[in-house]
Amino acid sequence: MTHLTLENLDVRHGQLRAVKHVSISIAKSEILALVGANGAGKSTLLRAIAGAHRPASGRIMVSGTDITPLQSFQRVAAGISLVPEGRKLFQDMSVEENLIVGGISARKGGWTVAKIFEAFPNLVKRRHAKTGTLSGGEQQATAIGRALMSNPEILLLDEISLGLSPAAVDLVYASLEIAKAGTTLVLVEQDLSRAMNFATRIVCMLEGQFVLDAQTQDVTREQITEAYFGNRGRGH
Amino acid sequence: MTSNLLQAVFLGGNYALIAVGLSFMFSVMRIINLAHGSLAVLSSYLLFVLASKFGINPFLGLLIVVPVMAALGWILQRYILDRSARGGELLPVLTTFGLAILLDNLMFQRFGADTRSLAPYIGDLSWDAYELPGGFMVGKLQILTLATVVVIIAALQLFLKKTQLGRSIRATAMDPDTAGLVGIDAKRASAAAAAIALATVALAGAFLGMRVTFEPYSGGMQLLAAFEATVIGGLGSLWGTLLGGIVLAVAQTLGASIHPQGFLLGGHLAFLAILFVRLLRGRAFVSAWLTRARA
Repeated sequence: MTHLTLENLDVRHGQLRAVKHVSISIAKSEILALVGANGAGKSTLLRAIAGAHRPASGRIMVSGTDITPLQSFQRVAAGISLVPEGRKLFQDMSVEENLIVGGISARKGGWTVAKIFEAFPNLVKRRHAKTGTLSGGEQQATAIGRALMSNPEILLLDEISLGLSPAAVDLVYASLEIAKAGTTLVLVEQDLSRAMNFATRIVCMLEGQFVLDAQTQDVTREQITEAYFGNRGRGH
Repeated sequence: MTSNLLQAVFLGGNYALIAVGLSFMFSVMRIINLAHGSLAVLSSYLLFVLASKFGINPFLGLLIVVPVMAALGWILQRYILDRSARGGELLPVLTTFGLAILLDNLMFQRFGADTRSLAPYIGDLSWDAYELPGGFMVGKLQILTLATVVVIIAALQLFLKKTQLGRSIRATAMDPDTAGLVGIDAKRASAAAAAIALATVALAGAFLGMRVTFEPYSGGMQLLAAFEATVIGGLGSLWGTLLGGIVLAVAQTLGASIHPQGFLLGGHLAFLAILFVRLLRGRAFVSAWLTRARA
């Protein structure tokens, strides 16, 4: 069943068309990794789905309902939650307060502050620490926890391993195993091996368009790399 | 002199009461509301009309004027400041400047140039005083003013820390874009903050009208005192605003003790001195940070 649908989505930054006429259907519980070079439009696309950028044209549908006119806070109530690039925690607030704020427009569901601390045990001892004092891994865990607090159906994750040590990235992905139950995930990931291990479907973006869309098991690393650099035509 | 300093502390309470709303609005919406003083005077006039025309005691009148001003704050943010903020950082400030001129002149048109006061409507509170140990006299109204501002600041701190709306307002103040992404209606949070700020303005207007006389153009001086107290106390810090009000009043009192006309000048000098120190320290801090970043 189709969960998230984009129809001819166009997103602009002023004159620049960051996302050009993109269409895709994502099924329920699918884990989709969005890969591509810097500036390919991945983050912009995620932010448009979350409602932080208004698309210039096109539609965004969740389970058949058009959510394009909704603002970002209304989309949280509609089941979409974004873990933004750079984590964007509320620095003057503690870990616990960040989680509580994440639950302000929460839908019905299983996530509570206590459950988040169970899923991210490394945060327990930092509960009352201001988020500015946390390590990168702890900050990323808090950001994911904050997004989960709204009990999303669709979780968008933007560059969650950026700037983290490999060990911290392992920890973050281990906790995502818990989060993915029943949730549709769309993640932007620079690390191709991780993307291929974790995701069920891979989409490659180049200059605002999709140039490759395949189930992970049907595609090779080489094919993705070619699409990544825009060499698709050469091999064919 | 000790008596004068004690009086100055209580006068500082008055400044802090008018400044607390300005400071709150700046910290949340990043808007310096130049109509702040005029809105306080408007509250004084509303209470005056209720007292003189309908015989309503100003303290009871607050039950009407506080909600009215809060509603005005909501509308002001939602339909005027929020829209003007789309035009850049400067536009909301210019908008409130225009609003101040509009309010002052509307009040002049409606109420004329006569000075008014709420003192006749509050019985002996306007002149009665307590004698403290050591023979110091402190006006009842002054004590009530200081107590009010302490209660307002404590309540605001508790509200910001412990309630869902308070957390929404803080999150919006830090990062409105991310606040929206985690499910907070940032516009609603800002409008609520403006409503709260103007509710404190209503109280400030009440105590202003009880303590001194006011006329349609009194707002400018109130804004100046509020602005100086806010900056001295460190922009956006609520307890700092109380301290800023007291420092301002003490500086004015010291100024007046040096020269009969030194009252306002003393306050301005303290304001400028602290502003200067902040700028220097700010620059020292930034250059130290840059050196560390380069290393």
